Amino acid sequence: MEKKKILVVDDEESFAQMVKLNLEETGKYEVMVETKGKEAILTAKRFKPDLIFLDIVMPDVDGGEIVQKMKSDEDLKDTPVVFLTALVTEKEVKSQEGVIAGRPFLAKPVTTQQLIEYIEKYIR
Amino acid sequence: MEGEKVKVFLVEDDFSVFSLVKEMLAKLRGYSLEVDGAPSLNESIEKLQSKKVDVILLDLNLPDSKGEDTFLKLYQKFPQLPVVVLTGFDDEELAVKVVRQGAQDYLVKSRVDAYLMMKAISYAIERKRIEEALRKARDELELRVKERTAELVRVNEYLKQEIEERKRKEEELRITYIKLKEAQQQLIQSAKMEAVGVLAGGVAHEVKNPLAIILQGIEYLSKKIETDNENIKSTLKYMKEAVIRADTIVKGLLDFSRISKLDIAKYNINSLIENCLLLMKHQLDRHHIRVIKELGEDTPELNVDKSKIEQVFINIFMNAVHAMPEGGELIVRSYVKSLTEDTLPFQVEGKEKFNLGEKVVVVEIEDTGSGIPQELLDKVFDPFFTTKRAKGGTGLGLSIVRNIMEMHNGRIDIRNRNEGGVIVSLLFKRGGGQYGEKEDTSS
Repeated sequence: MEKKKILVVDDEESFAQMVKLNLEETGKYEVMVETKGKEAILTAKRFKPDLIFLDIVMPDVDGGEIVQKMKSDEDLKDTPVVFLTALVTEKEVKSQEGVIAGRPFLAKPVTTQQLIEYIEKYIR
Repeated sequence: MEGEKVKVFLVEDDFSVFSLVKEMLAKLRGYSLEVDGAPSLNESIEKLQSKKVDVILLDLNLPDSKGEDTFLKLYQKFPQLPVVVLTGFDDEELAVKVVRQGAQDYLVKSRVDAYLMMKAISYAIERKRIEEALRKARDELELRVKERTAELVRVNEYLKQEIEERKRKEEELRITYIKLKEAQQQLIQSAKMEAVGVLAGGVAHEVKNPLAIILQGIEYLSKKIETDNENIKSTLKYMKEAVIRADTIVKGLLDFSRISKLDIAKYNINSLIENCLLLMKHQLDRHHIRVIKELGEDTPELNVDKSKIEQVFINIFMNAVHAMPEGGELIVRSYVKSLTEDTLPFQVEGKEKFNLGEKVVVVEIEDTGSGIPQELLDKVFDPFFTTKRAKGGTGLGLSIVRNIMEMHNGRIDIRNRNEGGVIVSLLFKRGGGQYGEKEDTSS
């Protein structure tokens, strides 16, 4: 069976690397890490992931903006995105409602088990 | 007395004695005497009422009065007149008795001569005069004492009023002080809340990222290190538990900072209490805690955020369970009452006011545990204050509870019971929380 391709976009490099290690450890996923928000679109177009884990608060660009750009990109508009965020208050998530448009999110800290559940749930 | 005319009045029914005395007195040289008299008591009294005399010579045995009585009747009428009693030879005992009752002197008829009589008369007059002067002085003194006493009583009364007034002022001052202190506490509390709220958001983000990394790292190591070494296994397990605990605290902080709106609907407070007791049933049973419900049947429906108010009850019930590890009683009471001067709660700035006579819904939750040491009572609502740190307490429970109550325009108060344990009183305005609704419509 072919490995599913997962892109992790997060400026916290060590977190992204740990996620990569844990997911690849299962033998079922191929994971790429991108720590620069601005490079996310380009990397995604090249890597063609089956699902993207996307951080919301990054220093150079907001996760919401990236999703917005993906919507108008032929290659990426159907790629499922799961937000990974340390901002877990309802209020803060709701305030971004227009931007993240019903995309699912996971609160940090997150277990590998949760990541796998979401991958299996959202990859069509 | 010399040179002056001394008026003597002789009360004597025996005419021979009467004449004898008169004669005797007339013979005295150097004295000017005027002698008058009467043969009976009644006649004497009548005469004396219109006549001014200096001394009375009195025979006790008269046709209309005998013995002691004769003197007493006369003395009663004319207490200011000196009386010298004339008595028979065998009646000295009676004479002495009468002298004790106020007569000036006595003379035994058969043994008296003019000189003796005159001496008795003048002494009697003189003694009486001194007595009178003394009496007058005493009366004056008494009057002055009375006046002075009256003045003292007045001053005393005035001082008493002054003291009362001061006590009243002191009491007013004390109440003002308490109110000020409460206001200050309230301000400090809000300032703390605000600071914590601001801090919470920032800290949460900064802490959650490293926690996420550590958790991922632990999971990776757990998989990679294939070992039967129990120490390695338990180390990894403890690390994971620690991360989860830290995350719980951060979540509590976020809860705390994000309570800003309520999801209001009408609920009967009793049914919310019942729900929570049901949720707690296992915990209560396990700790052998008996629940006593005294839920008022007339409590009206309140505007509340169901999950927030349930969070309040659960939190308080959990505290009660922790306070009674060896079992006990949990008493839950609800009722409606009118606010009086004594029960009017402190007004919180920016919240709806409580008014005198207003009907409020009260929920009281009592436990029979160990109570809270007095010096810690003030701190129980402080964020991060906990006595259960070792058991994973974050110290945010009651701060959040208080925030929720204030958002509902309600109040919470915690006191020790006299008989041990704690009583938590919750006060709900009948309108309940409107704050969140307003915020919702404005956003």
